[in-house]
Amino acid sequence: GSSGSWWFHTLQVRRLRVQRGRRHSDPLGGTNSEDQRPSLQFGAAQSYLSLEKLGEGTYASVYKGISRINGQLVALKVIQIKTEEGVPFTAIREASLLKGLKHANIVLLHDIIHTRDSLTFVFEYVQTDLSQYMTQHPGGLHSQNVRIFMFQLLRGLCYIHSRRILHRDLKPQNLLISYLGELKLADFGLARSKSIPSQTFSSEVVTLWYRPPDVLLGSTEYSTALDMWGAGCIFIEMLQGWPAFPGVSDVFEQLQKIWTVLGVPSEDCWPGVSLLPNYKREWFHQSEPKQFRTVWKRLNQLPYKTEDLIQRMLKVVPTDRISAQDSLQHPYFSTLPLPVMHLRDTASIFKVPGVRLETEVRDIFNPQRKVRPSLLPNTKCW
Amino acid sequence: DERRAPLRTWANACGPIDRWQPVEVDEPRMAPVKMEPERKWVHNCPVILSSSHSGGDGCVEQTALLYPHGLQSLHSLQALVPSLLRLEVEKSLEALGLIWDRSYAWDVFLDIMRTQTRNMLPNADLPQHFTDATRAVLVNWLIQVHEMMHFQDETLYLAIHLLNCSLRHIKVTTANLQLLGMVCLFLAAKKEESLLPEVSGLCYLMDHTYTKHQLLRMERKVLCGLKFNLSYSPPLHFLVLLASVARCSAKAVWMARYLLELSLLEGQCLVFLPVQLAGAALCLSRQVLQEPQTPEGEAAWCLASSIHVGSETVVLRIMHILAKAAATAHAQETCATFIKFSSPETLHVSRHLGLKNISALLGVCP
Repeated sequence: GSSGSWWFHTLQVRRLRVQRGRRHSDPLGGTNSEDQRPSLQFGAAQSYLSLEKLGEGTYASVYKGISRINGQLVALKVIQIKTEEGVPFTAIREASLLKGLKHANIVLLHDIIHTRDSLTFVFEYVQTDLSQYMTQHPGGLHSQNVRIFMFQLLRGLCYIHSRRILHRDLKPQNLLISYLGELKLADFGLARSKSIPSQTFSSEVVTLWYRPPDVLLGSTEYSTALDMWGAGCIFIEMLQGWPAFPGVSDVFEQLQKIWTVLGVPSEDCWPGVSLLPNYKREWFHQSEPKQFRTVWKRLNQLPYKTEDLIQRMLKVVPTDRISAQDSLQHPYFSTLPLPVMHLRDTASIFKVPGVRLETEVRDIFNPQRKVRPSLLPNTKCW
Repeated sequence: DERRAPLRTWANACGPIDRWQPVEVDEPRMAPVKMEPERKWVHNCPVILSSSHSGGDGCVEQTALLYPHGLQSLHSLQALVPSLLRLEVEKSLEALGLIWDRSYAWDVFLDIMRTQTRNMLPNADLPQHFTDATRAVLVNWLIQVHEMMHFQDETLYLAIHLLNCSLRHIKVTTANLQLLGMVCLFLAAKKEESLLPEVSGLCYLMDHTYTKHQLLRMERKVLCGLKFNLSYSPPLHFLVLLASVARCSAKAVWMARYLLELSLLEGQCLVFLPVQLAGAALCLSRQVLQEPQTPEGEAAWCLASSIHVGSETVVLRIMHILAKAAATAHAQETCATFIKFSSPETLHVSRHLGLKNISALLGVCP
């Protein structure tokens, strides 16, 4: 009855303000027990020492740090809390998604520290990311390493996609690379799980260069194909040493880059395309699809199956794009030792005997190293 | 072309609790499982059987056909049902928009079946000062706020789930219960919604009884208490999935949704798995509505029933709780759900006459 809801306050039922129990008179003790904790605990700010700033993420700053509990290096992602929104929704989604993901190719969230005005995610420390790795080794990576990185990227995507999660912000900066060559998907700030049919997302996801044509055209019917396009672009970038579609400023320029290679989609191959918000009639007379190897010259030096897999990933029509699951079965990966196909979720690909990174042919940190010219990828194209 | 992922069987994929139960042919409810219409689904063209068959008669004939073959055909039936079910589940998940695309449909289904047990509460015990009645008042208010904000349905189920979990992990005084409820709704919205309310707006809705600072402190407390684990498969997803596989009518779905939302108000329902609540709500909805049966409808229902939702006893227990709640919903102070589901858009299900003598239907005294 209403007598039981004296604690209840609404605009409809205005009541006198009720004296809330003071903290110290609270018989249940509140959080006082936490004050007696020993100083070095998980979840406590003083357990980590911040060393240097690594960069700015989408909604946070990232620092390199060290755990005073076990001496491990960690990455500290510090998120500011604002009074009008509280903990940012991106942080909530990232943390709750990562809590449920345990996979060798997904970055590991060790701990969360929550203070009054900031929130710190403590991640495993991973030495570098794919962007830095490609800067260190310009002109395209060793083809075997590209295969190992792609396999891990697709393995990670397959894992999250089968849990109805899209990453939505794939780019080399978000792919962490350990000293062993382990690749880990990071930055799930824009990721989300599917739960709401008819939900329209803002179309401001995915860095422009790695954004698929359907999203650029303004489609909001996202699917796992969104991440597959990004993976395809990263594939090219690793081989070429240069982004596949380095657009400059706006969506139309970005689309133009894509049409130059893949041709403008017609109503015949993609019913409904001309109804998408950013579709332009004047595109109609433009370029025919080109052979990938004529655009990205490195493909000329590689077996045909490499080009074939990329072609399946970079399809203009999203429903034509290969899934992560199927792409792992592609002959491109048949040169990897068979056990890589049957790994436990948490087992790294490098646990399989025979899987190791090759030395890259170029290394800006070791420019003196002698390199056989025949190993150098064709660099004219960029 | 071999698959990379090791093929998981129904049984080991769902863990001990969700193990798929083999179809028991001797059980009368299962009797209409028959080959002919099932094959039709495989070809994706549900055709109405020749009109001379009335539903019941058709079933008996088909069942009789099954028996002479003895165990052998039983095995082939058992082997057949999971693959049919898989196809139906995949089609339904896709049609309902619960997945990004078809290729991962079955993985997603197994994943939500598995992970729901992770979020299960061990018992329905609430902190002493938080009685079932108190809880119902709070949940009822959250239902109103949720509706006013035009949030998605998933947000409501998540909010109540967070509330149930928070009550076990953090200590709150009675004076702060409303604040806790609001924070749970706020967090659920942050997880699910595109448009978010501002903290000051939420304080306004609580008549400025609490300051923004208090709200943020509670948010921190809840997130720490839950260790940031906000993932949850809402029972509503299982409900629409089961209903789609079972080819339920729109009215049956609305009725089940009404009953399912009533379960949020019932403290006793805390211990049940989302799929159990959904299964029971749908079962009860069918019993209340007593819609005319077709052989196709019955076969589809049987197929949906083979998604293991728990023991018969558990489902019956939930049905009793829901039946009692539905019979008295109109007279309660906590009637937000009753009012919500009396609208024309929801086909006036909460005012359905069948709900009045629902207890008699189940053979229970209220």
